[in-house]
Amino acid sequence: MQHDAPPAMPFLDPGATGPPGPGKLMSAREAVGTFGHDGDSVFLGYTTWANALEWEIARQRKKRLTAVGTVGSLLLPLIGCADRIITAYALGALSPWFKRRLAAGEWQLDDYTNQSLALMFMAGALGIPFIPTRSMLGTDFVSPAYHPQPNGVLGADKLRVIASPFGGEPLVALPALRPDVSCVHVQWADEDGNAAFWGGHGEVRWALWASKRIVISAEEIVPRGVLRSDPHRVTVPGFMVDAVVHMPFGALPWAVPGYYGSSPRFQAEFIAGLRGEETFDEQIARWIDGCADHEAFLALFEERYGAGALDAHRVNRAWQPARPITYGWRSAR
Amino acid sequence: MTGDYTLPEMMVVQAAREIAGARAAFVGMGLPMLAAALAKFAHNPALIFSTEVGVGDWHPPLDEVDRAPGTVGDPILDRGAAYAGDMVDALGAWLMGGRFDCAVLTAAEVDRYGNLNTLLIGDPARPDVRLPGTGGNTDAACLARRVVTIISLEPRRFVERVSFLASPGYIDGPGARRRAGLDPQGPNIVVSTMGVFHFDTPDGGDGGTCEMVLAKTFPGIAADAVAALVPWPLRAAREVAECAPPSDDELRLVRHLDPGPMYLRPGRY
Repeated sequence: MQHDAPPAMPFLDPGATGPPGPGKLMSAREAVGTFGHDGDSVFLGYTTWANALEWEIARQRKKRLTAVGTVGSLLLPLIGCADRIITAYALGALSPWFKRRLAAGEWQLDDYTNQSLALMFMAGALGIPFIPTRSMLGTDFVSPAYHPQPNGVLGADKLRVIASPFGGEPLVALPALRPDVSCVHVQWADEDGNAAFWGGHGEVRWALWASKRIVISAEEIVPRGVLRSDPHRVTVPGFMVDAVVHMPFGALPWAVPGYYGSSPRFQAEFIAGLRGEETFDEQIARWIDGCADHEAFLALFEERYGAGALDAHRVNRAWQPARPITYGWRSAR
Repeated sequence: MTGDYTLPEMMVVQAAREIAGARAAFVGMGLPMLAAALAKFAHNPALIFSTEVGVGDWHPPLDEVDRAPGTVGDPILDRGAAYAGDMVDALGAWLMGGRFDCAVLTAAEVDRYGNLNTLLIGDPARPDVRLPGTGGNTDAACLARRVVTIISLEPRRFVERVSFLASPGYIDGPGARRRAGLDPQGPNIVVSTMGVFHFDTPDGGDGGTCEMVLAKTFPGIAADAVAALVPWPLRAAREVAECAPPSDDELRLVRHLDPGPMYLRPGRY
């Protein structure tokens, strides 16, 4: 397998490497075991889906989790880890047994919108109790037909229609949301936890910034100082991060800009398999419980889909910034 | 097939024509991706194409683009974009801040007042159909200055009243948007597989009946055939225009942007 050896990208001398720290690199098992607890609210981000970390949570069979994010985890409720979902897009909804268990009240679900969730994370990050929006006015989300939401998570506290304290116009007040732990996959991180994601961020930055604990998985671990040489690239600085896990192909079957595209073939097997009540156990036995860790998954992937199947997802790396920037300054004399 | 193109192809081609005059478009998941890409590459290269994950003004070299974006977060959108930010940027500052003059959306249901449903069908406590959810559809319908909806004309999709009002059009008639605290919006249109609908309001929802009105039909489609698929007494404009069939360029580009095809795979619409 060549999955841990993408084409070389030169590193310039990073210079400043930052203060010495203990380093936060660890295995996924240790990171999830240490920073994920039963009962946690867990954020997974749509544009940078930490698939391998999600699977590790599933392997450890965490209990009573609340899955939060604009895209709601399919795996964590179905495998019995999460019984509450706060989302704008519940991936499991197309599965008949997901719908049935939701209607039976086994799970609670709050439906929000992408904007409202992003703003709720922003409020959580800023340490304010709520944030207003003009979205959802005029909809059934704020009507008695759906508020409080049947089998909802937050009940009446899901939202409130309020009058602006200034002009009196109606607004929707949304509660701040602070995930207990966020699991996010990025392109680069260093051992201090400084993490760089490039591509559309979705709600990821604000969710990370709102989180009490952060676990990052990364395609590459870059030497200390590389990210400090280009701090505008950094999505979350290491001082906010608890653990870093090196996981090449850690988002598969989803895409990572600059690294690989999504895998429709694997999605067709695994995602579709999860949705079917009779195919679910086989998928879990093979991919989750049948693999001790991410390395074992990558090996099984190539065993199942053929040698070179991982590298077949690689993208064109020629598209790079046309001009590097400089961070120069001068001291007045 | 009608001639050498399909009605779903004609729907996307006509939607692209209707979008082409926009300055800055919020482009939602699904058919809007294909139609807005076609609008940009066939009609208006200056169209500002943005999605909710924070990619602003996608403008790749056409010869590098072998397909429309597959999702709102597809990394193809990073190539040639003027900005790559996040949802607070896109759905907060751009959308709620008033920078998008047009949102392009689709839905499971549309009703007489242009309301959209993306959430569930049936009793909210025990729905017959539970859809994944609204994503940014609700945000765009509440906050964009104008909405173009692309949806195939089928009795299950065109309903007198959406079973769940996820995304407001004119809600229940004149003045309803303003009473709910929303700004006026329009001119909204719906592009279907048989024709184009406008809404009877001169001012974005305060005056007129705010009802859907048949404005244009596709080549060879009779107005009566459209009305037969709509469950309420559909009104037609005084003069119902007939849309031009797809040009060779439009047809070539829509097929180029949807290889597979994925968006327009046979049997989907």
